[in-house]
Amino acid sequence: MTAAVALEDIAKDYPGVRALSGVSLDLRAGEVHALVGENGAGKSTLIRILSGDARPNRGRILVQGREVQFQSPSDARRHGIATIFQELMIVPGLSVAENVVLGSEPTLGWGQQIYSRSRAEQMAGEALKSLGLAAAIDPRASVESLSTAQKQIVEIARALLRNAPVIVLDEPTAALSDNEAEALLRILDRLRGQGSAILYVSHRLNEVRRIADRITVLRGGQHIATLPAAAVARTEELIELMVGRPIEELFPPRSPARGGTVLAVRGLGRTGAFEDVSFEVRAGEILGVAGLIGAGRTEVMRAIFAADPLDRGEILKDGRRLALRSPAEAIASGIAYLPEDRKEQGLVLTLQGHENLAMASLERYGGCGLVSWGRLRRSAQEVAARLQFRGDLEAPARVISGGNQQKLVIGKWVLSKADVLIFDEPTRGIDVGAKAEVYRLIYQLAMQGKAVIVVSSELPELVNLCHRIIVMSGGRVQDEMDAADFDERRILAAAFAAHVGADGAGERIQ
Amino acid sequence: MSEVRPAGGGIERAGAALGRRSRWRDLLRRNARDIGLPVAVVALIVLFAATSPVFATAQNFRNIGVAAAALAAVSFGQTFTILTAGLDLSVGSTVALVSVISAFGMRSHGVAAGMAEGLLAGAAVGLLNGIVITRLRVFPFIATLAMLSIMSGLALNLSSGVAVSGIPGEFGDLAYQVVAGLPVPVALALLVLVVSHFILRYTRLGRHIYAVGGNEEAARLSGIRIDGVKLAAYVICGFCAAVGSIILTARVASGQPTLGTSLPLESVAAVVLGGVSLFGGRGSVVGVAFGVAFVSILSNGLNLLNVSSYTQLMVIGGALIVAVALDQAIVRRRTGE
Repeated sequence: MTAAVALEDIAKDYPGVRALSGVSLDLRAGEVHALVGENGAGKSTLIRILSGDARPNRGRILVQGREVQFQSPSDARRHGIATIFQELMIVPGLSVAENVVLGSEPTLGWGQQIYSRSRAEQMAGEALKSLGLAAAIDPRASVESLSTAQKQIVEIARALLRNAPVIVLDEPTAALSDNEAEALLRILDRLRGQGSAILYVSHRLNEVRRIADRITVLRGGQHIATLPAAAVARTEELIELMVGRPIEELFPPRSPARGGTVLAVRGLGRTGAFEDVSFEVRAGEILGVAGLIGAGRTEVMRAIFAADPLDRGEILKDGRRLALRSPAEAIASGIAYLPEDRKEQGLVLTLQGHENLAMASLERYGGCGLVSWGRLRRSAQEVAARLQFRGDLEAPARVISGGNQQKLVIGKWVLSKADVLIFDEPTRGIDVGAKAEVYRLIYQLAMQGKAVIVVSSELPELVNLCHRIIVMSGGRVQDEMDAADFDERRILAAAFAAHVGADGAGERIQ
Repeated sequence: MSEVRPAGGGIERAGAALGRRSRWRDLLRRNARDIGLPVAVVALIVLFAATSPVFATAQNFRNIGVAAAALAAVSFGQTFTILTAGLDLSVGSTVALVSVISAFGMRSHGVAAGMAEGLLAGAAVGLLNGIVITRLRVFPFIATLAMLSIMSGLALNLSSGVAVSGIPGEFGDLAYQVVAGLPVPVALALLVLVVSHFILRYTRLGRHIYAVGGNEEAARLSGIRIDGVKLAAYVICGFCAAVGSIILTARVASGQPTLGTSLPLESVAAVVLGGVSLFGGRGSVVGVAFGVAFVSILSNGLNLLNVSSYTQLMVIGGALIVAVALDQAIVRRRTGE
């Protein structure tokens, strides 16, 4: 059988870096081929080559057995390869239908210059129907009213409309909660059944094992293995192939000691976002916050940090009531918030590593509004060493890997000497090795007596890391349990509490 | 063949030399943006020195310096606003307003008091810009474009549209006096450069300006008071424009309500040529100094070649487009195609 797309012996060099050396890969019709590897393994480069965004220095690309060269992304699309990037290509001001037909707008009239809205809506509707989502997404709706998961569906519909036989998905589930991810996988199942060739890139290895027919592992730009998914008995085997060494333990032991209550919130509410949220965190404790995307978890945490307004309720720190008006005041009270999106909210990508580290504690490196670069560098280096930061502190934050970027964000708050640390999705989009290190850092912070809150959409992470988990759904706390009672099914049930009855527990991309 | 193999470290030495050369290339490629402008300035000097006999004389360089001083002061101030991802188009009429106010001030209260009043007025315009931008949430482009009109009208009203004369002669002489071997305007511009560089690099405010311009949301979540930082940037910009205005006012020895109309474009051009990103958070005043040098030398050289000032306008606009296009090309190449 001829592969829909085959890459042969692909190599790609960037100034000073060999991103790929001699990687081969083929995608077959009716198959999901997963691509896994740590950050920096070459996955993104491979996707860029496949999508026509970068040209290889060596090697061949074959489409249906014929050699082709992609000069630009539109070349790749013309050859039937549709790529859905992590950063979605959605035009915010347009409707769902307009986004689906983007670039291939149906036209009518003399010279085919008049855009046909009704035809576009019909085409978008058909594409959504073939994905089994005709009821969930209205082609006429504004695309801004959609969730991230639904926007992804819009992009998949766009690929279908172009009859792209090959669909490349770059970490499509990174921003989705478990249930949204599951619904997406079901859609991929369906596409596979219809004969699409799918390249699926993900850090979520359980998902990969669930969806893929074959799995290719990259490490350091090299092709390590391509194996049938059925041949992988345990997820750990994949991790070991990815990191090239046995993984001892992903999670640190649970820290034992717990002190008195550091942070307590009572009856927090903001109209339309969350209501009646109460919980407390003790010194040395790691509190997990579970829930679906949109359950109000991030909103609550940002309100505690005074990054967003709060309508009702009180926040007590060490027994004293806080009236915070800005993040600056929250920081002065010892509260730190690590945002879910490090590139958008956590880092200044143009600044060097050590400046990002020092950003929340600049007043400590000199008096009278001055900054001593010597003291700043020393502190930054010290904390970077403690966090096992393995990038270049002198380099701008934009050029270092995701795991190291996350360490910069964590280090920033370690330097600020906060004693309540709120982590929002701390391991999103970083590789397994870096995840283990982030877990260890969170563990160490708890061991030092800090009160830690971890918001996460990855249940295994919460279950293995936390002392206690609260579950939010529909803007309210639905359940709370101690480590002894952790049960993924109970957590999921609570996470769906506000949705049950809406339309059963079936397919849900909403 | 096997005996030809060089002894011991030969291969390693060759390898090291190769490594060094590629490291140089790497360094060059990585810093192409920073190196490009100084190279262009030197090329310009060589070009004009070859085509005009007058160009490479001490007197002409002094002329360039005096002519460049006001633009330099204004551009260093502009750098602050552009680093916060903002912009100040009102510098043109700020210069005019300060010229009129300081001329009146000097006439009635003496040179020092008049200068102080002018500087205060410049800072006040900056403060007003900052308030409109941070409190009323008007985009910097619109806010300062409107302020350009408002302050121009104010300057014309105050002066009834004519030059304010009667400034003490000692003030006009300032423009031609020399301190430490430098014409006073050049010394002033250098002072602004040094202070600006110090503020941007070694103070908390300076680092906050880079953080706010680089990623406003991350800066806010790191506890930086965004509005205060922006306000400070516009006040500094207004103050620097006032310094530029005093230099120009001394040169024309009267308060001019139409002074500085070309400064909004020229200052933005110098800042952008100097490698400061219009998206904020990247660049330095040292780069901007080269940007100012480029614009001023270009204009001086064209003068010597008898190119009319009308044509010069076209050349400077064109140079701005070429420079930004080159910059974009370099950025694209560095990020891989």
